[in-house]
Amino acid sequence: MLRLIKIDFKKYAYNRTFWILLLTYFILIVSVFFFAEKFLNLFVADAKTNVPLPVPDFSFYSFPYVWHNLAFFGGFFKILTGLIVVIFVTNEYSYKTIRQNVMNGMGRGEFLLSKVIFAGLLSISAALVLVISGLILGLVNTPELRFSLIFTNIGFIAAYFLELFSFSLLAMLIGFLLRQSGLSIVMLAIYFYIAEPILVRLLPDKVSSFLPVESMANLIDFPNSELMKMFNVNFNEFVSLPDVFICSFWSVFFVGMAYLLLRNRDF
Amino acid sequence: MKNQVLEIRNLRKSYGSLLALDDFSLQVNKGEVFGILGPNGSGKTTTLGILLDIIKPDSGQYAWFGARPFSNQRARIGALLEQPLFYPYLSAVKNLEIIADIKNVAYGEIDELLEKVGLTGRKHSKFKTYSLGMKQRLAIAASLIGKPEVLILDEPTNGLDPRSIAEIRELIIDIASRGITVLLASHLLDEVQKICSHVAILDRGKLLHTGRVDEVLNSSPMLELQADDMRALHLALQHSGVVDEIVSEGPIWLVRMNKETGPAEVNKMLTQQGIYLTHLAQRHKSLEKHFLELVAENHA
Repeated sequence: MLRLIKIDFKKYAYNRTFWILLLTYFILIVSVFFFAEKFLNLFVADAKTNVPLPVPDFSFYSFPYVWHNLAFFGGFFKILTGLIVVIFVTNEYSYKTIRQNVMNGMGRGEFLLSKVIFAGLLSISAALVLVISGLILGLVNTPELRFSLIFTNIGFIAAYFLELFSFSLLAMLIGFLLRQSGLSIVMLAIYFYIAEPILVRLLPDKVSSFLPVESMANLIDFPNSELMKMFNVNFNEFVSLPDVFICSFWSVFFVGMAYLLLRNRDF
Repeated sequence: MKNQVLEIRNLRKSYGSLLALDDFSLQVNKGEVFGILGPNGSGKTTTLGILLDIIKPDSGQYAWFGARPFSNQRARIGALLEQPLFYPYLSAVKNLEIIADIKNVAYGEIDELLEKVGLTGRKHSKFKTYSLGMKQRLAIAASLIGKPEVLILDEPTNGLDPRSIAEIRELIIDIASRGITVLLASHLLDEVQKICSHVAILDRGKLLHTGRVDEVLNSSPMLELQADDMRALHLALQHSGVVDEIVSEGPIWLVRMNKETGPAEVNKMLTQQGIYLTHLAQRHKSLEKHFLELVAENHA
């Protein structure tokens, strides 16, 4: 496994496109994390003018809510990590280096594993960005800081990782399936933004909650705010365990399908 | 058998309705320089692709080093198929390092290999800045990483200028002289004749002939004979009883002797009859002729 990481590291470390994409993603996601509260409070401020009751401002960044809030908003940008995975899987086809790698002695399964590891490491780095941002924001914004508060609800970090990872694996499968970068990116976007949302509308909730992207989104429910509590709206404050299982199932399924594809195909 | 490097049994592969490889079997022993000769589209690349696990056969088996194929085996095999494939944004050194990592060998020999193929000066340049000849030479360096026991080459001189062709042929002969088994696919008869010890002739996915190159070449050699009195020479040959065929070719007689009679016997016999040869030469049937005959039979 270390050998596979070493091999893949060289493929990305010296690639400018990779660093530009990764940096863009990190800058974007950190900006989202740091400006989300301001953005949301605009709505709260707007609500205040229409509601006769005093509406408290969001305590968006305080421990332990920060983990849930950041994970929820960060999840909207998983298309970007998926994009990076798609690009680097299909690159191997457009350079025909997958052929060369296998010829040189990489097993087909090993090649797949190297891309699964890539998707995993990418998701771990994204989760680390969440951890660091959350720590900074939480430490600055929590009024009565207690050590135990920091570690409450850190399950959302793991859920965030799972969300990104399983989506990256879907992107990887599409890349292996279609082999062309442009086509794969378009299909991934169509599935993410159009196809599945339509399916979710058409199918009853009980069925649609088993769809891959839907279950990834359901992992982390909409965060509760004081405002919502006032209206008696209550969202799930914990990571949804059934969706952890559904997402894990899909992750295994995507890798399994990619393996079947690779095992039987000519390069 | 310990000497057996590769055994192919009844390989079959079709692309849709096109049968690319039809019941193809072959054995390659250690130290042989084995040429797979065939016109374009005869199934050469398909065969090599299957042996390297980048193409899946419909049926049939092959064994490397007497064992069922598995990916680590290919660390013992160096390969160069069609065009050179590398990461365009990486330097020659980084590209070779990736291959060394895949084969699980140290980087130590990379500099030496780049020196050997004359790329030392450009070793830190990105692959995409290389000329075709440089790319091909890098591919050869890549195929030699990990001191392979077998080298697989597919049309290694395709598209190169004459000087590079000569260099690469020399390199292959040099490699073969060090006991590395070479499997070379080519549509160039001349190339196979110059480099290979053994040949398999392939056409439309079928194996037409396999054997030693010199056996193919030496099957019934012809003699070129010339003397001052050509009529007397013709008469003497006709009555000798050891000649199968006499053909006139310009100023000489082209003579096919029966199998037991060599040039020395012919010379002695003619001298005894008072005919002194002014020209005596042995002419091998070229691989090309043999090849064209076989292909014509296959198409008939």
